[in-house]
Amino acid sequence: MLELGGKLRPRGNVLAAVLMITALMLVVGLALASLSVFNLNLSARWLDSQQAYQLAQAAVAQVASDLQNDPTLLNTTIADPVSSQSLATRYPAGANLLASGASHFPGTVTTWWRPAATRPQFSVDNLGGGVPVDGWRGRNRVPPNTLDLVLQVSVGGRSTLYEAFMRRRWPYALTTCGKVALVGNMMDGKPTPNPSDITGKVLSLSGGSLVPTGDSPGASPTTWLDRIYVPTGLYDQISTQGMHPDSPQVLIGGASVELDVRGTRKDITSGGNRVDGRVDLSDPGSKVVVVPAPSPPPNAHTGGQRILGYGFGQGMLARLVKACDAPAYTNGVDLGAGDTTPIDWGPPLDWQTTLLLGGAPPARGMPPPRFFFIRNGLSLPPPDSKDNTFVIGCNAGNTVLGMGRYSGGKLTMYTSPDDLPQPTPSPGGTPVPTASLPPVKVSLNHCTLEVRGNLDLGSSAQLEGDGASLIVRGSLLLNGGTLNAGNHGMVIWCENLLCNASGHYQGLIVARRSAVFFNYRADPDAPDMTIRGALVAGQDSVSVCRVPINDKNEIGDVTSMTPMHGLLLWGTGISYDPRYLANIDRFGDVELVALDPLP
Amino acid sequence: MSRRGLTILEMVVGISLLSLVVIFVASLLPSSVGSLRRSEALQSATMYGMGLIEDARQNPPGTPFDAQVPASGASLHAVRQVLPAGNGLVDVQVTVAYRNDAPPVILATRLLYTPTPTPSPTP
Repeated sequence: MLELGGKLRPRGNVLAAVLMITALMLVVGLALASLSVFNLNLSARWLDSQQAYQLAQAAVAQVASDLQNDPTLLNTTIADPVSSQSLATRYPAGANLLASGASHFPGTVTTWWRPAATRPQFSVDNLGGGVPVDGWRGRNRVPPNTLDLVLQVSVGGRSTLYEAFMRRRWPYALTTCGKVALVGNMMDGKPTPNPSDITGKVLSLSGGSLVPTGDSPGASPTTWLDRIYVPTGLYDQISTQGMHPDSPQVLIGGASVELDVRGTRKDITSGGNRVDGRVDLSDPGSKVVVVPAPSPPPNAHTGGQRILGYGFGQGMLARLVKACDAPAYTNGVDLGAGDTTPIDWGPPLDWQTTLLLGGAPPARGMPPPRFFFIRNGLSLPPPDSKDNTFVIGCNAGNTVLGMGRYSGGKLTMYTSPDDLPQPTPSPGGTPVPTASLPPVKVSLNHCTLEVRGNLDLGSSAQLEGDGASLIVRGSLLLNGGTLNAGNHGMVIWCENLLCNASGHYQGLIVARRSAVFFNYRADPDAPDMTIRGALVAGQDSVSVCRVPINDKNEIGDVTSMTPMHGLLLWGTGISYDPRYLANIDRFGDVELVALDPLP
Repeated sequence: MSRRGLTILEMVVGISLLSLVVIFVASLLPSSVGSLRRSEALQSATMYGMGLIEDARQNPPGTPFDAQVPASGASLHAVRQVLPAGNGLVDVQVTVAYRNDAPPVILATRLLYTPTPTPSPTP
């Protein structure tokens, strides 16, 4: 409003201004008040979300415990998702996963396994499957050996969906029930191999873990390794200074440093033998020891955390051993004499009495086989049968190929084919063909070979495989030569293993009783022995001897035997690579891969 | 009406309204501040409880953490309990009291501790 005859002056401006200020203050005041209440509600919701997350983790722990304590739950197949032994029957739709001890928790956790009309998400149990399967996210979205667990957590009047991926996985680069000695690069003035190293976690269990079948640990053969020349002086240092026969230890050749179990991590970063990963020791008295080394002093370090007192359960190893050790490993068909078919592939060699073809699939969890082919040393034609699990039975000291003999304290080594003993003519007068042994090349491609006895590949042998399994019901001896595996990986299962070779192995090696790795390099530029995958080894002692060898390559008498306890890695590298461990993931423990809320 | 009268009336009305609003807003401030403090305390209590649970998750069994845990702040009073649940499972329940007039924060989870491996019996 304007006043006539004067200046234009607003009327009621003060009131309007006051009203505006009042409204503004009111808005600001109410906003502050609502913000504080909103903040409080937000904190309450955050508390609820944290409670829900903890409950989801509790449900995951419950499921992991169930799987760990009841392996029958792992037999579930996609074709029969609601079998009598499955998570689906243990936890049907609507059942509280935390029913036991429910009073301890401020909420409940439920899951469901089949697609529901109102719920697009659902759980899928593919822990026992070897191939991806369909999930609620789409086709083939649940990886092998994986549980896709959808959880509905109800707490504080709210419900939240979580999705957990739990995977069975073999977690260790090196698993042994004895001691581990890492040696290498410790001999002055000799073409020694490079340092040994382990990249990945190491588990050292108490003794006997890998021998659950009641066999006497002392019953392992002590002669088959004896003719290997070992620079025992170095090993004497380790065994006298560091090794104790009763306690699992990890011994690392290097500087004179003893590491605290849970103490400060001490790194010597200039190279040398090393463990880059966690070391789990089951014995509270165990140690990680760095052993003093001869000159030049190499360096050593162990990285990561060393944990005592607990680790993965022994059941993991027991399941692996039993699965591969029992006759059922052939998928229920016993490869005994009555179930195998002799194959007539020409006149038998002197070391060979029977060559048996088993019509059963390969070991459960092993790569699917296609064919079997051994070149050179055996010169066997590839069979035209579709069956591709082969069993070689043998006599002649229970060894398939022999390159040496140890008897009466006398060591005899054969260094060339001319040194081999001439075959004894058969009673009928027909001479038995001489086995052209060196160089032996065993090439396994997508097949499984079982040797019932020792497999001594002799010197300068080549053992290679791709997508194959080699099962030796005795000792596998590769004294010189190479060991290689292709990109499809390989599985070697044996009682004892001597690997005096170089090469690149990709896959799993299980030496049920003992394993010794040396690094044989005829050519100084040859690569070291590297294993990408995992190694599982027992703890039987391996006896080695110091033998004199003159310039005529003659070997003298054995004067002393040195038992080596535990696993020896000499110039050998092991790096954990789960890509080559798919076949034993089903024997591993369950790990939580991801736990995330769903929108 | 004269110009001055109108101004006085405006002033009276304006001041009255302003006073009412100021009084109303001022009355909101204590509760707002209280809510903010409570919210802050609730967050602190939740964080502290989570820390206690994660501490139990990271430590091996045998850690005597079933006793009363001293709180870092004077206003927090925390109790952590470990309740066996069988098969290597333990339930960890943390109760954090942060204000006298507010219910305590309760966080609970279940942890799986793998027992120490022992040699398997010979069949």
